[in-house]
Parts: sequence; C-alpha cells; structure tokens
Amino acid sequence: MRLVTVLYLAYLVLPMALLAVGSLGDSWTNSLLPQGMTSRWYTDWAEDPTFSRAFLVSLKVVCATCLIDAVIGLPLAYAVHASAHRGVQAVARLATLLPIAVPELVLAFGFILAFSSDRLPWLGGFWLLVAAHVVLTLPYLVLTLLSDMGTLDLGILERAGESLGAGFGRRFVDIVLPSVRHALMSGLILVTAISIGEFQVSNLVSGFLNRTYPVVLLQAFYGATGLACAATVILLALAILAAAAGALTARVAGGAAHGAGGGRA
Amino acid sequence: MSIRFEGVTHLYPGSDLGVRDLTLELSSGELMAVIGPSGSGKTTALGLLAGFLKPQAGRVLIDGEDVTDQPARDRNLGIVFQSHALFPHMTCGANVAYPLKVRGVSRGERETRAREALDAVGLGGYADRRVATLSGGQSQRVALARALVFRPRALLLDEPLSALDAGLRVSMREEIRRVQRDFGITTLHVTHDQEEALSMADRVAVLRDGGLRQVAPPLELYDHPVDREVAAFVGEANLIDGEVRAPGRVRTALGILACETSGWDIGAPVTLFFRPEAVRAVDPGEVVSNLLPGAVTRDRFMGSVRRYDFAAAGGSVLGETRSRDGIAAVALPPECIRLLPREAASIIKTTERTES
Repeated sequence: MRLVTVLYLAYLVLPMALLAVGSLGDSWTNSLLPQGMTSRWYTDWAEDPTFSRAFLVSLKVVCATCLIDAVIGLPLAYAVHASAHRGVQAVARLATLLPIAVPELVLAFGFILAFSSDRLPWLGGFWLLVAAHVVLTLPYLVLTLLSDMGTLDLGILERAGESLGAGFGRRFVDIVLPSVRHALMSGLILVTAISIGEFQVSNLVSGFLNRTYPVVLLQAFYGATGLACAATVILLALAILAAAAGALTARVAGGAAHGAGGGRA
Repeated sequence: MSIRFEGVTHLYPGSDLGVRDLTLELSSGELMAVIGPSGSGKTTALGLLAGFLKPQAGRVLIDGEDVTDQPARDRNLGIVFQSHALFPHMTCGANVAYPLKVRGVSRGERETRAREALDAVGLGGYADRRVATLSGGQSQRVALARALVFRPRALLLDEPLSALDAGLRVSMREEIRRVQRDFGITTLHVTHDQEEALSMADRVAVLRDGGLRQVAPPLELYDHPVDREVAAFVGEANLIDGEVRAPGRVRTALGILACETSGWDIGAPVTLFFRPEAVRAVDPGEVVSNLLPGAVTRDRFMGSVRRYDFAAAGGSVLGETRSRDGIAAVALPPECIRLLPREAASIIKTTERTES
C-alpha cells in the first residue's frame, strides 16, 4: 500500500522535479539529465519582457474571468436550482456541461470562424480571450454552486424569508448569497486554476499582444530548454502560492464565521 | 385577528390532492389545530393562508380583509416551519431581528426587541449564539421568537414539533401554548399528531381527502366524533356495525347490546362506537349489561396501561385497563356506547368556539 503511494507521488512529482533540474542545467540535449549548472535561465527570464507581459495578461484574464463567471454563474445556478420543472433542470444541467464535453479545439475553431469575419473582427482581442475562458470555466462554477444549493435546502430558507417580509432581491442578498459563499469561493478557486493553465483555446484565440503565460511557455520550449524550464518552475511556484493563498483565505473566512459565534459553552 | 377560509379550493395540477371548498373560521386569539392523515390537505390549507399557494376558487380573509391575492411577504403572518428554517449564517439574535430589519426598524430597537422575544421563549442570553450550536428544542424556540417578534397578525405552525424527540415534544407543546396565550395570537397549527392537537388546541379541525369533516373542541371531538372515520382517526376506537332492534337494543355480531338509541329508527343500520378505556374488565359471574365472556388474544403493555384485544363470541373488542390481572370477561357500559351512521357523514359538523 505504502509502495503504491510512494510510486504514485513519484509519478506526480517527477515531471516537476525534472523541470526544476532542467531550469538549473546549463545545456540539455540528447541526455537523460542536463549537463552543468547555472542560474542564467532565471536571469534571462527576468530580463525577457515577454514573460512578465504574458504573466500580466494571464492575471488580467483570470481576474476578468472570475468576475464575469461570478456575475453570470450565480444567477444562472440559482435559476436552474429554483426552476420547479424537473425537465427544465435536466436540460439546463446538460447545457451547462456542454462546454466541458466539446473538445476545446472545436471551440477554438468556432471562435476563429465566427470572429475573423469583417463584421465581427475581434479575434486576437483581450475580451474575446476572456470570453473563451468564461465559456470554458463557467460549467465548473455552476456545477459547484448547484451541488451546494441542493444540500442547503435553500427553498425552505427562502420561504421563511418570504414569510418574514423579505422580497426577492432582499432574499437573494441576505439569504442566498451568504448561504452559497463557500461554494462560490471554492468554485472560483477551480476557475482560477483552469484559467491559469488553459492552453489550447488561448493559443488559437489570443493575439500576439495578448498571449497568456502558457502560450508564451510553448514558444520558449522552441528556444532554449533551460529558459522554458525556468519559466515553468516560476509559473508552478506562483500557482502553488495562489492556491495556498486561496485555501488560507477560505480557511480564515470559515474560521471567522465560526469564531463569530462566541459564547459557546 | 380572525381568519376565514371561504369556499377555498386548491387542487395540485394533475392530481385530486389539495383542499376542496374549505370553509373554516378561526376566532381572534384561538389556537386551532388542523389534523388529518397525509394527503388530507392540511399542509395545503396552511400554504393557502400563508400565501405560498393561490386558491383556484374561494377567498382567504384575515380580520375581514381579503388577502387572497396578497403575496406571502405582505401578509404579515408568523410561520414556524417543520425544519425550523433558521438562517444558518446568522446568529440567533440576527435571525430573530431579521423580520424587523426587513421592515426598516432601527438597529438599536430591533436588537432590543429581538432580545425581548428570545426572553419570551426562555432563551434570554442566546442572542449571540450560532444557529449550528443549538439543540432541537432551542432552535424551535428561536424559530418561534422569530415568527412572533414582528407582531404578526396570526401564527402558523407547520408540524413544528415533528423534528423533536418524543419527550421534548411534550414539554414544547406546553411552551408553545403558553407563549401563544401570552401573545394572545390567533394560531393555525397543522399537525399529524392527534394527541398534540387534543392537548394544545382550543378547537380541532379534522380534514380528510381535501374536505373538512368536523371542527370541535378536543373533548367534544373525542367523545362525539361525527362519523366513523373521524372516530377512528382521533384516538383509538371500537367500531362495530349493528342494527337497531328495539329502543335501547342494538343487534351486532357480538350479540344484542344495550345502549342509548334515541334519535334512531328501528331497523336503522348503525355503527357502535366506544373507546378502549370504556371497556371494563369484569368477573364473568358479575351481573352487568353487555357482558362478554372470552379471552385476551393480544396484550400490549404500554406503561401506565395495558391495551388488549379481547375475543368474545362473534367478534373482538379493543380494551384498555390499568389492572395487571388476567381477563375472562369484559363489559361495555351502555352509557359509553354511541351510535354513528354507517356511512361517512356528508354534513360537516362545526362547533362554534365557546369562550372559556
């Protein structure tokens, strides 16, 4: 049992370890491990504005995606949850799943076909990139919210709110939003992870000035392996940092919510 | 505030479940329990009064005002739900203060009033507690405080005790009754627990298949059920078919039994109704009316009493006794036997509330 675990962890960690090794190696051609040792790839990385620019684009895309996802996803999930008709619910669930089922390549070509025309010449623009990310990530947020709404029994809480005199808007802000805040948080962490790593569609849809980090990474691998490794290691480090920060915020928020009770015997 | 259902009909689409032509009036300050088997329409009746459901026909009036088309949030009714439905992300105090917040009451005043409401249900000092830390009985009290704090026109209880342990349920009955009296608030209490209804209510309404069968104070309902269905639903009952043979004499499978027959024609088909506790265990040699010798076939010990099936020649009766001795004969005191029509009564029997 322990052996399996160790092997599995090794399988997971090995590629990342190799990247770390590669990022410090001087030259890496036709051998199992790189030769020599250097830190120049990291200085190269720091001096190359392509990377910092791509990173900034990625960050902006992630933020915009999260924001739009939240604004669209929350009411959408709520509407699906609240719709009384079972058939409507089933169809809505299926429709939300579609973007996951369709190959990303198909999606990207759809975008290219639709937005390279004279009438809709938006291919390569920042907002089209964001739109693609929203299409790809929205299902994950909606599904997270839906499963949480199902277990919360929101319907009866809302009914209680209604009997106490609260109208729809009031109930949405006072009862629905606070009830699903944990699901919203974890859903958005998922969205962030997917959006940061997304390559296929971004590669085909983003313009030269709006390349995201993963897209630039691929270009880097055509050049010097060491530089590409270093750039990937930095992305990994930042991703882990972001994930840790997200988890910590969620934990602190959860802890505060619990602590606020106070006066427990 | 009085409440009045006027010929209200609401049937769920594609079924014949719901309520049909319901006319029912609650006088001001009255606690009326609505009981009935599942599917009888009691929850529908509550939903119609609350405004969660719209009637297809008829009107609902609160204090003379027609509220049929008023949305639930404008009806100003305090509702305690079966699951209590406390908002989990708020403290007890915030839960109770919520209806006041919605009504734009200033923070200071609503905190004071929430605290007073919690005091009234015996939860003083619980304002800062989180909902998740409450026991079932405590969350029940918070739900009650939240339903009363905004001085609603009436209180609606939707099986509020069914989520509680048996022991707690009994003490909460008294607690709810006390608070209801203190506030003097008209209350509609929907429950499937007839013991709860009998012990708490001023009057009990029995629903069946969407129709009202009888409305009466608990004692009258228990002693004078309108028909055999109501008799069987409220408490345990012996129901034995018979035929009036002569004044004071009814023929049944158990033999000719003596009982009051005034008001019934000779030859009328009837149902004899008597409660198990009316059945007396007697000595087989004793000289009493309606003596049935036989033997106990099933004996259920229930703590303070024993409930037994007693097989006599021609049939069996359900009896109840405090004695722990063997039983060789039972007697059915004639004054405890009432005659009911064989068929379900077509006329709804309503007893007006008498001020106590």
